[in-house]
Amino acid sequence: MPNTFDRFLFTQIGLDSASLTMLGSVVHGFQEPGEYRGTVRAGGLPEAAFTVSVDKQCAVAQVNIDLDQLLNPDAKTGDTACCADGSGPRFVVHPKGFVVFHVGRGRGGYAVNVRRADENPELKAYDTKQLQPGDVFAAMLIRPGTYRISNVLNQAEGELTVSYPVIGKTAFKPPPPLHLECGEGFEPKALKLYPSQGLNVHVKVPAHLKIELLRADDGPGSGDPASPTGRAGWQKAVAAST
Amino acid sequence: MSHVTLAASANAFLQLFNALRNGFTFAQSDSANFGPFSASYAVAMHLENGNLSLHDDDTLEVQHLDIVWDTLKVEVCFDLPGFCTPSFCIIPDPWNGCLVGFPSICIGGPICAPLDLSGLVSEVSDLKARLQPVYFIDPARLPAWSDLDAEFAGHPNKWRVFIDPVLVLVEPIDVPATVANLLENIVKQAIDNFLPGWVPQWAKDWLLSLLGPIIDLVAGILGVVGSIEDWVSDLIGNQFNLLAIIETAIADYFAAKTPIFEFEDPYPILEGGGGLIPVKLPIRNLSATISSKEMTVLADVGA
Repeated sequence: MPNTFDRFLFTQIGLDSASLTMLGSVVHGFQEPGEYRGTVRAGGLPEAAFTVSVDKQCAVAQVNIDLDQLLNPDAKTGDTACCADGSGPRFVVHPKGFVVFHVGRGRGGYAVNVRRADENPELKAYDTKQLQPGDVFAAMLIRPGTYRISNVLNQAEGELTVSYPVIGKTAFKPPPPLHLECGEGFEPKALKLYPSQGLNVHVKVPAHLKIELLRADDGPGSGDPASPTGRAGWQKAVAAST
Repeated sequence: MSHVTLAASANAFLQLFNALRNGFTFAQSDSANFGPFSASYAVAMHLENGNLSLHDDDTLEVQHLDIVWDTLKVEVCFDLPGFCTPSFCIIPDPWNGCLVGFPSICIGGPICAPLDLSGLVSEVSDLKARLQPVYFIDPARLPAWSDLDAEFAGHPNKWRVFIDPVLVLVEPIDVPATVANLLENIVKQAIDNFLPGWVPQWAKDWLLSLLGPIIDLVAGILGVVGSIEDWVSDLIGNQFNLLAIIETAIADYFAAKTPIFEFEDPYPILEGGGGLIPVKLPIRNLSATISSKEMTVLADVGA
């Protein structure tokens, strides 16, 4: 498990399933055995390639593909840029297993396109820009505030609230991830999370997920009446508008 | 029977005492290492108020004599040794693990927390004393001088009457509970300074929440068992022994430094002039006593 104290953790506030960053990953199952060729895009053009072999004989249930590692292989793990034929590193997984596309460090902003190696025109390519039923978008929100989560493809919306960190009687430990279903709408429609608590969005319909900050919560003294102290303080009464 | 009797009423004695009390000042600084931490202090104080009562048993008592701390600064320095936030998963793997974890960020280094408690008021709860006459021979007086030579040179001998304490009881400094907040904020600021400058405030607060209660952290390092304010009070008063030092300073001031009443010996009766030398009476066997109504000074005139 790589560890990072990367400034992008604190400067990238929104999440987009079509533009993966450290705080947003996609979990996808290929199901059909075969050879798949994938490309990683940062912006428009493919910048790195990889191969996924979905093999019934393979016992591996989960493959983690660090997109940043594919694009920026370093000396320690340079084997990810192994293959001279341009096909990139090869990953093997069982048909009932999953591939996790994630960004281990840096700015991110990646998308993944995967298609069958045999170029069967009847089989549509998989692209993280449009998540498919069965995919999971694993997100983490650290910045306190109120967020809108939306599926750009069907305009479904939900609300996420990340509370401001409070120094409690014991050291804070993020609780287990919460789960959200993305179908015709989001279920539940609203979720309250602690900062750095994981969020797994289970995709039920084709989706392009966006999580955008609506209102930042800068904590006690910021003027936000929904501060974690629970006190709104004295406020002058305002006459109801007609 | 004594040749000379002087008396000051209780009210006059109070005025003398007030003047004496107002002349007392005390300043001190010190530092020490206490193992897990070091500390230093700088104090300056004076006395105010106080209820004076004279008793028929030849004693006087002053209660509730205020100690006004013009300066009361304490600095506590300690090492935040290898304190690390817990590592945890940023990108949870929904099945059996973690894809990317947040590192265990270790924050460490020396922290000094200056606590300025100037302006506090504590008290000498009780001061019991008797009067003590002392014959003072000016050390600048040369052995060959006569009494007249000494007077002309400005170094006459004197009779001095001191308030000689038998008990001085200084109460512990009542440090306000807000000192815990003050200490916590200082340590928070120090931890802030350990973090990279680009980390936004909400992220710092998040990191602090991972550390847990700062004051507990500090209390653990300093070995604080009860409240922070009691600990600070104990540090100043007992660990540095400042209460005893002040008690000694007050006792020394009243008993030996500044008399409540003094006069020359021989005592001038007539000024000199016109070819005549001054007329002076030698005073011997001086005693000073207290009753509930007055101070009485008795003396003999002798050669």
